[in-house]
Amino acid sequence: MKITFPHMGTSWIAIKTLVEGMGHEVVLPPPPTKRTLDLGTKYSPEFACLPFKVLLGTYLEALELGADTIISSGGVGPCRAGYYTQLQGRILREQLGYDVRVITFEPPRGHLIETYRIIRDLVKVSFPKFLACAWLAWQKLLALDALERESHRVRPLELEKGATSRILSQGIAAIEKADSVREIKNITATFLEKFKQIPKDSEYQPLKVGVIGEIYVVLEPFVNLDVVETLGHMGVYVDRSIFLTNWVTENTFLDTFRVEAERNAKKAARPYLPELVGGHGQTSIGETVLYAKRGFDGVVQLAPFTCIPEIVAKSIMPRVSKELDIPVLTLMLDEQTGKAGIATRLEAFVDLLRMRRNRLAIARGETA
Amino acid sequence: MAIRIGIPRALAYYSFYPQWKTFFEELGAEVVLSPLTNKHIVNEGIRNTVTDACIPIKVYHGHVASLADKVDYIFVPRIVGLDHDATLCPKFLGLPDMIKSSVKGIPLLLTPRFDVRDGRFAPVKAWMKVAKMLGAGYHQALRAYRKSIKVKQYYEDLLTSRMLPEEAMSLLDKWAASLKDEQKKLSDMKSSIASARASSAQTLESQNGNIRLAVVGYPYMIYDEFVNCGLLDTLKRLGTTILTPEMVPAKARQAQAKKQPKYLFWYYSNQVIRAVYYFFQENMVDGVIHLTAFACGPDAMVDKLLELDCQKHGRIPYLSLCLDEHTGRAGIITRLEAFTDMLVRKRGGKR
Ligand code: SF4
Ligand code: SF4
Repeated sequence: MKITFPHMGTSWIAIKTLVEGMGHEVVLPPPPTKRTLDLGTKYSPEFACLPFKVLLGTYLEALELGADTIISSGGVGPCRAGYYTQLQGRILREQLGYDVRVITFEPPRGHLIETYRIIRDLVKVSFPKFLACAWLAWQKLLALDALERESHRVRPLELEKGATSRILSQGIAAIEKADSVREIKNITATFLEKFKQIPKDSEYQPLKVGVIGEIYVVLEPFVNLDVVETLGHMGVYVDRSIFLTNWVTENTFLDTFRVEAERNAKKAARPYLPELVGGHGQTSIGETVLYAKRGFDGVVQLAPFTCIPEIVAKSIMPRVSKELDIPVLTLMLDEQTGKAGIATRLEAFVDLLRMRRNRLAIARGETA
Repeated sequence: MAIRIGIPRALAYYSFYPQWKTFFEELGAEVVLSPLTNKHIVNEGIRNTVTDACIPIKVYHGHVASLADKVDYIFVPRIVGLDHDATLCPKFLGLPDMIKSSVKGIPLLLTPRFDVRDGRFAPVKAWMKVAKMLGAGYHQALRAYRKSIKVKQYYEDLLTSRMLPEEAMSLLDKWAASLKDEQKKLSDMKSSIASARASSAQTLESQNGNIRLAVVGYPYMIYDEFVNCGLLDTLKRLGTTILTPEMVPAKARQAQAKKQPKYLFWYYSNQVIRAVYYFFQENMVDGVIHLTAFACGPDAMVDKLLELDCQKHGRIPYLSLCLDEHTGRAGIITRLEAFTDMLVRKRGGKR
């Protein structure tokens, strides 16, 4: 079997480790580009959400490279992602005539036996060996998240623009190559140290902005047009509520022990949206409430065009924003969205936040 | 003076209005229905919603706004689950919250939450809560509920006799107003349903030569004549026989569920797919027309599934019509004409 899987941020590093650990050949799809999106858009329903299109494009590119099996996650509603592979599989087979096997991992809750069967069929090595690989993959995710998180803190302070991003990508490359937990830990420590060494403006007080929204567009820089990096370069400290490890916990049995942060967000959302609306709709509202309470300067909501839960969230956002006095910028992304356009809107938003901060400071009797 | 309760003529209205109306009237309230969708309502809806909302949601906001200064309460239910297979589209789930955040100057909202997955009695309990809010006693409320369920059944029976919602609703209204004697009323209704069934069967028989079209989509798309630019009328004028999902009995739709490898996550979407599978199984239709809303999330999936299924099922011709607030009547008519012409030609017939 030549297995491929979708891209989402740097998750491929861990998934590759995992699938190779099962004893299979991995066909690593190229990172998503304009071509990926064009291919995906061509064969997707017009109003499919952006992740659907990028994923379909990715599968097509991987099939060109000789993949014959796709593994992906399923998920239960109420959102479309849970139906992605069903429909993508049919498009690939019935419409485009590919002979491809699509394996969907449903969240094990309620599908325990099925999940076990899939894993048993897939794993070609001894079980302890596989578990060791899974552990390694998980450690890689933790390390990737740690470096990324630190980069958000350092980037707005860097004196030489681009220094942080450079070190981050070196770190990512090193984690990719690592093949023991020990090595991963060393790399993490080394690179956290390197971040410390970056010359910084320690006087500077960056604006604090929370980035929230639909998980895929938040995690995949190609589709969010590098929002996080762009904001960092504008001198903004970005706090992201979603990291790769969140995605894993949401899609595996760990879901049963709901992550605490998420539980808090849901609770915070209740006065505005008491109902789960699929995807991250309710969490988006809750996180905005929490950012407001933590004294953040603003929130950027990222959502794919036609994203159902985020549209619900967006409709409710004005009330949250007004009552808690926190500016919110919603960016709806589709295949026509351009990087320049996004940068302009972010700049305007950041200007507004700066003015607001100065105004508030003056009102408090401080000089700006 | 009786409490006035406003009901927006949009979204789930098409599935439940007779039931809702009966319930509130039995409690002694006055039901105020918003007018048929019109230009003004659509504009109000657009003004009150985010641009990314689909047209049915915009229209719903418009209907709510049109009721704002006319009633004491507006009924905006949070309909979460109608069966155990799925929830409704998330926009139904967050509807009361969206309305609260978007429409200015509205009166109190009645927002009971309906979810059958919370247990068999969850819907009754939700209704009892509403009744209590309106100051009704337990027994009165229970009676109102029982009666409303009965009326809902009649309504569905009329729809499966191939009657269109507005027609069925006015029949039910007439019936409710006519007789005082409950026993006679009942037999009267039963005979109405029987005769509707008989005449429906007869028409189907007599229209045997007609092109038969499955016209599928959500009830609030198919039956809102303003939104769909008079689609059903146009199709009738073109001499076709129309079959909609609501014309298939609920049980028969449910029986098709086993043909879905994985249920869709949205109630109405499953109904659409299942109805189409039923039409296929019974060999009832020459073509399928799918009415979808611009940028509707669930429909992106449903539409592609239908397209693939029509192809798979002996290449049944398929037409997908995507509607938004800018859709023009002329364009729709042209496409419908072209589609029916093609079907006539395919059959080797003349018009
Ligand atoms: S959350 Fe949004 S992007 Fe994700 S599946 Fe649902 S509609 Fe698509
Ligand atoms: S199903 Fe589609 S048309 Fe209906 S409310 Fe949801 S998004 Fe709108």
